[in-house]
Amino acid sequence: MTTNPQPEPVTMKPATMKKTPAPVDPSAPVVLNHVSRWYGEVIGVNDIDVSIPGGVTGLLGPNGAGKTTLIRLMTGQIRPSKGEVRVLGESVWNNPGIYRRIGLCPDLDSFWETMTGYEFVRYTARLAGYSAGDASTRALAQLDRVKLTHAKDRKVGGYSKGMRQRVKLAQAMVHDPELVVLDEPLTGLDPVGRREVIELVRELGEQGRHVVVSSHILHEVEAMTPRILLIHRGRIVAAGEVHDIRAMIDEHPHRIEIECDDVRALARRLLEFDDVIRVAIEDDAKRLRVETVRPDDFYSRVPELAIETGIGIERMTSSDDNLEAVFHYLVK
Amino acid sequence: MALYDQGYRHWDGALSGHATRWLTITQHGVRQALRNKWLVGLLLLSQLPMIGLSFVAYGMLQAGDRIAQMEGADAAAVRMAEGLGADFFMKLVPMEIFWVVVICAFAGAGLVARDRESRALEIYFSRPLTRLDYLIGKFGIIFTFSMFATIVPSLLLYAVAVICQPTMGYLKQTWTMPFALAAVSIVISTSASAVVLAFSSLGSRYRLVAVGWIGFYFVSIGFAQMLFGLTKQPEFTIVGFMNNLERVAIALLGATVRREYDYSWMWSALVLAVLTFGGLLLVLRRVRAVEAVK
Repeated sequence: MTTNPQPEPVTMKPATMKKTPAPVDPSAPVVLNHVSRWYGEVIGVNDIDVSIPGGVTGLLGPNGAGKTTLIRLMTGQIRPSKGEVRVLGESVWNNPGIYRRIGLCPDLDSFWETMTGYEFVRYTARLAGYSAGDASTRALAQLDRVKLTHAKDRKVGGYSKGMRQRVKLAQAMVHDPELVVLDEPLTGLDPVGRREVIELVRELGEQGRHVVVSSHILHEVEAMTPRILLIHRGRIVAAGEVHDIRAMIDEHPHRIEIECDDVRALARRLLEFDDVIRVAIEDDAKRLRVETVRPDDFYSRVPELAIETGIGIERMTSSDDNLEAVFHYLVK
Repeated sequence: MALYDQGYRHWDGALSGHATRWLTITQHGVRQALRNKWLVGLLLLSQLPMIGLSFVAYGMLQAGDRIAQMEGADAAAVRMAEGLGADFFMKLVPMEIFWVVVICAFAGAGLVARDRESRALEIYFSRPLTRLDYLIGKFGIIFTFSMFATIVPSLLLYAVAVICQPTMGYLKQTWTMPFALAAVSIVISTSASAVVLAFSSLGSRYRLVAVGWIGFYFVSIGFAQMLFGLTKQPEFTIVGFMNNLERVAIALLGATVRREYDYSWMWSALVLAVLTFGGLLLVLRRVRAVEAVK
């Protein structure tokens, strides 16, 4: 059997990041004991041995890292090829009763397009065992919670991407689960929608629920919880606090590209700062490539520079913003 | 000062038991399907054969009155039981089967296929449901409509036959007929529902599933007729889905066995049992929360 190449052992500088695997806490809400999952000859997750404590935990990894596989294992949607997944003290595979206590918001759209939002959420409540009356009450409450009351009588097929995402969230919470698992819940949401969902996740955590939320965008997870699990190539590569990740990123040169109308003038000014370790002018003389070890400082400084010097900055991008770059730092 | 726990507290009201969870799927599915006016129209059309045969029964009643005047009430009852007996009700069966096939294509082909297409299985199986609950729930939907197209016209036709009689003699002669008609309806509905669900679980485009199901029905009949025509061996008709349903119906109603069905009805029952259980097992195997390569 061939498998994906595995990352090298993790070496992390900040003290709070776990260099060696943390001992698995069997009483934690989610416990994965040496869990692996193969799809034919392709490995989805590889020997994951971790416990996810109560509260809100972010599952962070680049696309294709194995987040969705891990979530499906955690929610009993797929069977582990090896190992065992225990959720809220019970084995989750082939245990439908546990779904009274778990709420799942899948990553892709999964619903009946011909139903209205209200019918959809109500039906999922009925499937969870609530009476017709209770299901109606709960569906309305959850739709209100995700700000969809105004569209409750519209067919889901006519919903925007953001509305679809919110109705999925409503169905995940309608049966009042102890553990809510959200797979990329912010995908497709506009900034206002994102903020609302982030608030919602925080609120769930404050209510004492356990929430596992996946994302491939660091700042999104950071806004929801300080505690994260980093997954890469099917393995948990780190567990700890978001600021440690930030610190690690900051310790490495951060590449930023700037397009402006006077690259040479801007380059001269930027080299005055000690966090800027390299500035290169691209061939077209319209772009600068800057390497900095303190990206946050750099980002706050650039607008001031633009005002001060009168240089027109057309675009500023960073390839390092994507999580692949973070993982590159982490596992090298 | 008393400090109260602010932590999460799960709703502690009563939830319905697991045993009836499939019923939620069935109820919901039936309600949703009945919103489709085309389906409602088909269900009503499926009663037409019964209405037509009711006129035939009424015509026979007129003849019965004349017999009663000439030969007496008892003789008339016996003659009516013969005329409105098993062979008369057997006329309804092929038409019922036809309508069941049409209704299954319309209301059954998408039952699993649409869930697969819309990835709704992931939602189902993130609830306290087993695959068996799902299967029974979906089966219940199409079984309900199939029964509407079979047991309702059968029993109504029998009721018409009884009501039109001047005496209770006919009822005494044919009192087992409603049970036989119910049994035939159950056999037709169960077999058709299971097979169409199996077809539905094989695809994710319900129109293709519907075409496949109707194709299976007509091709199997054509194949059976062709083999019978070539060999003159009645046993070959067991390759036809409708032929097996008819053969079992003849046995249950006690109707006259036609030449192409001149073999033991047990063979047809066996074929139907294999198709029914095989179909349901196939659905169980095909239905997964997430489709993953093994």
